[in-house]
Amino acid sequence: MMAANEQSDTRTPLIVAQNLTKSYGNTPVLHDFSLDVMQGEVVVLIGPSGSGKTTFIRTLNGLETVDTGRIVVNGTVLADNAVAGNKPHKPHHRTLQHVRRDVGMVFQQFNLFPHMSALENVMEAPVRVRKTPREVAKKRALELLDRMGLADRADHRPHELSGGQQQRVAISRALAMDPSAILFDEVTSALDPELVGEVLRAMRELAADGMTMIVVTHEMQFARQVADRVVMMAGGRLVEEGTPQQIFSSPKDPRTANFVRSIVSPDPVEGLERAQGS
Amino acid sequence: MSEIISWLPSLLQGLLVTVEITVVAMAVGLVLGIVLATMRLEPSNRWLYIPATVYIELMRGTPLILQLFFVYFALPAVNIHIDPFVAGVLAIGVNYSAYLSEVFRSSIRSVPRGQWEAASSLGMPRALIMWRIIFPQAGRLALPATGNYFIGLFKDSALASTISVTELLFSGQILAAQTFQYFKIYGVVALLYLLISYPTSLGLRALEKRIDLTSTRRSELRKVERTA
Ligand SMILES: Nc1ncnc2c1ncn2[C@@H]1O[C@H](COP(=O)(O)OP(=O)(O)OP(=O)(O)O)[C@@H](O)[C@H]1O
Ligand SMILES: [Mg+2]
Repeated sequence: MMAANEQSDTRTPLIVAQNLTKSYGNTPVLHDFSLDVMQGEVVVLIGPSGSGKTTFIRTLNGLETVDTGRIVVNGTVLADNAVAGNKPHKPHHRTLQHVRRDVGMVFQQFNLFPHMSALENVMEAPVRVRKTPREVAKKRALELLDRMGLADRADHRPHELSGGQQQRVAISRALAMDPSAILFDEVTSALDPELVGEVLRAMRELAADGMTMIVVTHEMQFARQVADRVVMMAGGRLVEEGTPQQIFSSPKDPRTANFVRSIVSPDPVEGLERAQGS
Repeated sequence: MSEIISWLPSLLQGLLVTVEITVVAMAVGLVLGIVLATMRLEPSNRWLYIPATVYIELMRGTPLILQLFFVYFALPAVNIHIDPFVAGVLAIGVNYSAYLSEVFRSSIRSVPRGQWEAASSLGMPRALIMWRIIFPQAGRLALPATGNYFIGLFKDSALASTISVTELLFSGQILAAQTFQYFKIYGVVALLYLLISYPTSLGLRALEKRIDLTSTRRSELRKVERTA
């Protein structure tokens, strides 16, 4: 790609979300929420339960609609309504498919296809959606599984894999579409504690390779090491954003401070810092 | 004993017709059932949902034997004449499609939402998601109930005797009318029904086990197949 092109890439955000609002009946879930994500950036979303984190990241690939606001993903407009209409704007299904092929998503419950082997899970979309030749897709899928440390698990069905392995297959499945960005929604919350590390490690490597990531997680250690930016949400609003250092060590908003304190850190060093700070 | 053997050719001929009715009617029921289930997936899609619902209620709300009579005796009044075998297969298949569609619809609904979401997150179009992700899983969920209906249909095929299809029961009736050996003849007829239905139900149970996604044996089998 040409240098000029790359420069403009770094100036326009890859993902633009402006003034999003959404409510279920009378319950507001997103409230004038805006967030831009640059290419290669890793944004960690934190906030109490029900603050709208899941709803927000699902609007970015059209699994949820917004009532008002503007969403642009890698140049494709997913939502563009300045004022509240009666009906949420529903993008055309081709637009949705286009964006979804370009933005991966990894779920808390893995959602692997149980009737397919790990390899078939990873190959499915490239072969059926992108029409990649089977052999090419297979080679690439095996590479991805290998990179996730699953080379010897390619022929296993999801139920024969541990939670951590399943989640790494799910990450490979997302990667197989060569996405511009990947959305992660609490992808380690359903895992036994001893399996969390292997998934976070895989995600850290992705980030190091320059993948654009939006990550909903309460793993402080991960956020500190990997996030370029941490965004605190509460009541569907953006409360505060900043570097991990700013958000975790010197939060400005009392809600952030409370929330950060409420997360039991698995990292003893952090517990020590907190003890020294108070 | 020798009289039983002398009856066997016509009884076995009847059994063959019974099996034919069962297989063809089941095929009709399966295909129509899948179409109906798909039509009723989205109640908001009224032009598909309402006709399918009316059809299903009609089929489930009236006796199968009446539907059979309707096709065979009533349609000729409007100048539609159908061969008894075809009439039997059609009436039974169409009737069973209503029940099967309900099995399929609830199986499709039982596939976790996350499967839809994961597949659509990969940019798969609706029809592809249905075909590759939902149907294979729904099919597994539907198998036990579908198997029961299959055996039910096999037995209900005897109703075709009422419109003069010479299937197993009717073959027995003919012999009985000639020989008055009701006990022996209907006994053999019963055994012949069991000869098919019992192994079928065992086979279905084995098949259920084989395609169970939570049993490890299958993928071990697959590995063996692959290396062999
Ligand atoms: N389908 C729905 N119908 C009604 N309300 C909903 C629905 N989905 C979400 N909500 C509400 O929207 C709000 C935001 O939910 P959301 O799942 O986005 O929060 P979250 O920040 O991801 O929470 P958690 O940390 O528990 O996952 C909650 O109050 C929730 O009850
Ligand atoms: Mg959530």
